[in-house]
Amino acid sequence: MSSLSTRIVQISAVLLAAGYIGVYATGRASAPIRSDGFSYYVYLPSWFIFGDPTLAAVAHDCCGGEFPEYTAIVRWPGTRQWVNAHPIGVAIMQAPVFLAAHGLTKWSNLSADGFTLYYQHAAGLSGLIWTVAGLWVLRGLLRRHFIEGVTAATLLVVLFGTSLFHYATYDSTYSHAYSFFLFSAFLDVTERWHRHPSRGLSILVGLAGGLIVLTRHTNVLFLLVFALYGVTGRSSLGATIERFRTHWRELAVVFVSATAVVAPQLAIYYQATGHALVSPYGALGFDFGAPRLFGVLFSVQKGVFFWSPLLLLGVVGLAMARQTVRPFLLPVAVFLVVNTYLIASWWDWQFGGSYGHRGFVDSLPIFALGIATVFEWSARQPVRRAVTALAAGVLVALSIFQMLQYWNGVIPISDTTWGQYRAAFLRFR
Amino acid sequence: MLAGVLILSGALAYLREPPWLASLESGFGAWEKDFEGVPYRWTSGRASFFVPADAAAVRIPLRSEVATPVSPAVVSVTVDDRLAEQLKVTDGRWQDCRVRLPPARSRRLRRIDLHVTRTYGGTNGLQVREIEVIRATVPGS
Repeated sequence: MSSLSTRIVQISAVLLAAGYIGVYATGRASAPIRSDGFSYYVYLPSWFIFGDPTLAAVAHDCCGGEFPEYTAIVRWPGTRQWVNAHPIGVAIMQAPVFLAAHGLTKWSNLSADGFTLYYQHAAGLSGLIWTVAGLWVLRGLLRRHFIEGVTAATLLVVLFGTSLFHYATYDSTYSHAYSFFLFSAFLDVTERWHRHPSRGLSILVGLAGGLIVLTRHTNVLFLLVFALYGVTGRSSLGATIERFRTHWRELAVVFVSATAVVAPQLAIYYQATGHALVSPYGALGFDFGAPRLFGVLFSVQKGVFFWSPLLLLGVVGLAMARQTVRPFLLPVAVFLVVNTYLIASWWDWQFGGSYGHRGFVDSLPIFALGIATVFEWSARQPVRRAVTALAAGVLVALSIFQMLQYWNGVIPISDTTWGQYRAAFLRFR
Repeated sequence: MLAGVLILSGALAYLREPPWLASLESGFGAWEKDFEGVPYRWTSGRASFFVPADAAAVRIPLRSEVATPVSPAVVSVTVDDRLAEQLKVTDGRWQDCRVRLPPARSRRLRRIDLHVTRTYGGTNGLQVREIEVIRATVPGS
């Protein structure tokens, strides 16, 4: 008999599959490889179909030699080579299903150009599969610290009370489902490494860390979690440094494996620009002097706590954390603060069209640790438990409803005003 | 294990040439009407569709909005990945691209691919009107 949290992951997989089929069977979304999803994916046809790392051949085949403007794939000044603002991590993680789709495409005599039916849904389903994998890994991490019921409730809230379900189905070719898995995996292997460092775990830490950087470059900040795990004060900082010194061989394996994972991206940048480290966004960038902190946290436009208020429980829970997840506290707090500042300083702080603020989907495994802490605290007392369950239930229902509104076009994709929100509140059309 | 192999084999046999394949297209936009009221669709840089294996030819009325005598667009038409016709388009006039289909092999459907070397903004390739499938003439019919 499988445990409650295992069943929750299984049921989540079924509901995600149903949601995915619903999105595409009802025509609510156009083909999965679209918008940013195109740029994340385009490496695969380029590598495997055209044998060309420069993206030139796929540009010729798909687009008459010029990538559409929305793709953010631009010709680098000076070299005239294509540079993609979206790195290769998502494509690497999509590769297994892409190759299966390529075989099926040949078998069925569809056009093997990288964008016909099977490629489209392989890319779409890949994000869903990695989300389920992320839930599974997160379940394992939570179970080391919390009881079955708390773990199960946390997984439900993270999937249905935030925009994760949306990014696992409707916009599953974006990077967020992949980062959700990678953040879960990195938290998991970081904790295991610090408890019992080994060669195998070192490779996993390096692999997950490298892929995190390859999937979204600014998430390199998340690697702080490994460096600062267990640091709660001056004495624990000394213990952490001593642990690294004692296990320098394992640390070297982490470094080498992470470098090996990241190296192909640096080679691609070097080939295209003559530099291994570049800002592929060109002139678009950060305005660190005027961060839109209120906007990204609380605004009706895209505020993460406005659209996913259950995540406030995560913040409260992290502040409450004592023994259980305390070793994570300092590094994840530093990451959340710096990452929020980065997101708020980006020229397009709303991150374009999205349900909720998609910049925070990657960090949901962190919030899960805090949410579970609150659930555990509330489970100790019947009245607290009832109030928390009722509030969480209502907010999960609201989140699902608002996601369906977004799918129906009732909620604008960006720049939502308070008037628009009030007019659309609890309306399907 | 055996059940898995049987299900996979059955699925692959079905997907070899499923019934819905005949109506499957890719790379075509929604139908629009030109100033004469004639329906047409945009393609992207590449578009594909299927025709019955007993078709003798297809007629594809097309035009390019970006082609000029100085910068022509080259349209390639392949049948099951074999080049069947190549056409240089030098202006925006409608023209017919007629493609004779080579004899069919084992499949019930042939795949026709259209590829154009120039697009507008990387997304819009050719404008294509209703494609006519010309069946082989059966003697005595």
